[in-house]
Amino acid sequence: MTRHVLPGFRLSAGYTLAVLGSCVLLPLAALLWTACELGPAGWWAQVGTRRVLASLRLSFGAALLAATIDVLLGLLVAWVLVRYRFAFRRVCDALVDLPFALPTAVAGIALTALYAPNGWLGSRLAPLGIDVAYTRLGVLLAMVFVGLPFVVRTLQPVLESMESDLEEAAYTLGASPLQRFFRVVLPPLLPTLLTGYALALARAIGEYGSVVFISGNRLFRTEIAPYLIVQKIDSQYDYRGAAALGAVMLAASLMLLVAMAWLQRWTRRWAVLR
Amino acid sequence: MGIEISRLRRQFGQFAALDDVSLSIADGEFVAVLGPSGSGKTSLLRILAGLDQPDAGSVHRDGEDLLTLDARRRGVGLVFQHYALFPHMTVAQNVAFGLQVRPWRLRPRASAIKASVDELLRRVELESFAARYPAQLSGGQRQRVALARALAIQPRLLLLDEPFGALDAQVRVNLRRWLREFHRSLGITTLFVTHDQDEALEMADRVVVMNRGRIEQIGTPEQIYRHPATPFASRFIARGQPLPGNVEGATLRVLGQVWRLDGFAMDNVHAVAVHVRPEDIVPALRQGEGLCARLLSLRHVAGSVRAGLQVDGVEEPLEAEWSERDWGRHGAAVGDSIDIHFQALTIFGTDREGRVHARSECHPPHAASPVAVGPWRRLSAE
Repeated sequence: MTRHVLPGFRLSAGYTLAVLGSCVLLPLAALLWTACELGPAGWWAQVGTRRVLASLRLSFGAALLAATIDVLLGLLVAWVLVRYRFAFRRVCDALVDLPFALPTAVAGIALTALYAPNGWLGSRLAPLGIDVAYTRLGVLLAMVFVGLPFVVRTLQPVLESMESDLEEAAYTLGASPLQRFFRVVLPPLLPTLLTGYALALARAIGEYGSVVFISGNRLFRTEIAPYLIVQKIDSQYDYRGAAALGAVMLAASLMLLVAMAWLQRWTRRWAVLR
Repeated sequence: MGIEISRLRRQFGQFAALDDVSLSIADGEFVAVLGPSGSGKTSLLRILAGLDQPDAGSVHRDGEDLLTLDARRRGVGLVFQHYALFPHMTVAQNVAFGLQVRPWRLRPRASAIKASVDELLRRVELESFAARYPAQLSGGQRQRVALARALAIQPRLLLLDEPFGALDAQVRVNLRRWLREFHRSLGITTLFVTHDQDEALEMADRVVVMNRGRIEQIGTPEQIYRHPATPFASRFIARGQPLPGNVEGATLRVLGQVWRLDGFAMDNVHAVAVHVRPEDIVPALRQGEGLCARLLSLRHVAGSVRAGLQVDGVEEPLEAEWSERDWGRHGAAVGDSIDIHFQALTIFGTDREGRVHARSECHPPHAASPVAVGPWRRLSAE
């Protein structure tokens, strides 16, 4: 065995595995176990209903879209915070973390109050035919809100370490501003953008507190999957049904994250370890 | 024709990065801008590349105003100190970049781009590395990729920013020689900035010495080394060491010795600086002649001997440099006292702002005496 700089590899590795096992794998295994008790037919009876399928579609569809919006917005925010010096930059920087720190229910209530048809913004948007509260747009908005800090905070350190040399080199070689951005600045950022995307996506899929208030939980339209899970336990004490739905979400999330990891590896193919 | 830089000025707040800088560069010339960090050399480079604009002054190339041209259209190739290679592109893609970003009307065909990339990679001896990423290359290889990338756009002026700053000493020496040859075969006008005296003197046709935003001297490496124009150039290039001395009329007094000094006008002169180069401090021919010095240290560096000498009346120890062969005849040891004299002195007269008004060289008479025959040794016990 090679010598490590820090002693105690066996102890620390064992500890890591124990924590990982008891805190992550064990609960997930219990979830799958409970779901399996239903059997395939019972499982399909739980998951195959129109209501559940609609909620899954909304949860994953809105989360994918929200994470995409987060990446675009987050890149802009991180870029401005890193590259420019302006008044209240530090305040803005601190504000980015707010969705992290806020209890999600508070965020949900705040968004609802703002966008409700009688709210400050909602009452102004309603005449334009834009309804945010109690629609899918509201679900999307809440997901964007909670996901944004993940993108900004993963991008910031990478942008800071990126030297302006690259852009200047491209400039003297004759590249236009668009070419500089899309061919020189963006590609090295892609792996980080994907990390931010995966984090925002994971958060948006699992988001409950901030979404349920603004979505209004209308049947077939704005019910998200986590809401249905809570419903099953809350009103029907149907633990197996909740577990069946949970297992589907788990599998889908895992597949998405694995796909992201592969994509990320592909975008980092140039960063060879020597 | 070439490039005409005239009265450039660039100010950052209170700090003048460039202060009235004028310089003309002939076509095909290889010019080094030499100065310590903060001397303004990089500011000059960035202005020429179009990455920065001066506050005043002009730059013309063959009569055409360069400053009004956007950096994209200047036809200036810039090689960065830390290469600035695009990490996500292969070597070939990096080199092709400047051709591929051209507007489609001016863009060569894909086959033509590939041909010129192959040709450039062959010239910088990296044909077999075309498919590698920058992370897979050594420093010297990256530097050559950066050079090939800058040359791909067929620039009319090549700018190199501390091209060897980030390399190992051995690689640096090899690459220097290689770049000198490369320039000779290309004949492209080249300006490179460096803080390394050896590098500038070894490579350039002409050296521009800069200090605190001003040009101190422009000349061939030999001119600058043998006849430094300012105290700074003397210290920085010729390793001139200050001696306490003054000038009265036509006589120079240094450490109690008096020599005749012709052609040194004292008008406007506020301070006099007397400099001596390490190789101009030589052991005296006969014992008891010249100045008495204590030998503080001896270092043997690649065929020469560097000695630290303590001389009464001089605060800092003086450094002398002799060839190993000459020194072998004398063979004094550390702690001994020896007699030295100065073969050549450079005298500068400066005004209150540090501008040089008078400059002269003095060769004390005994320098012309016949060579002494050793062995020669003075015992410190005397």
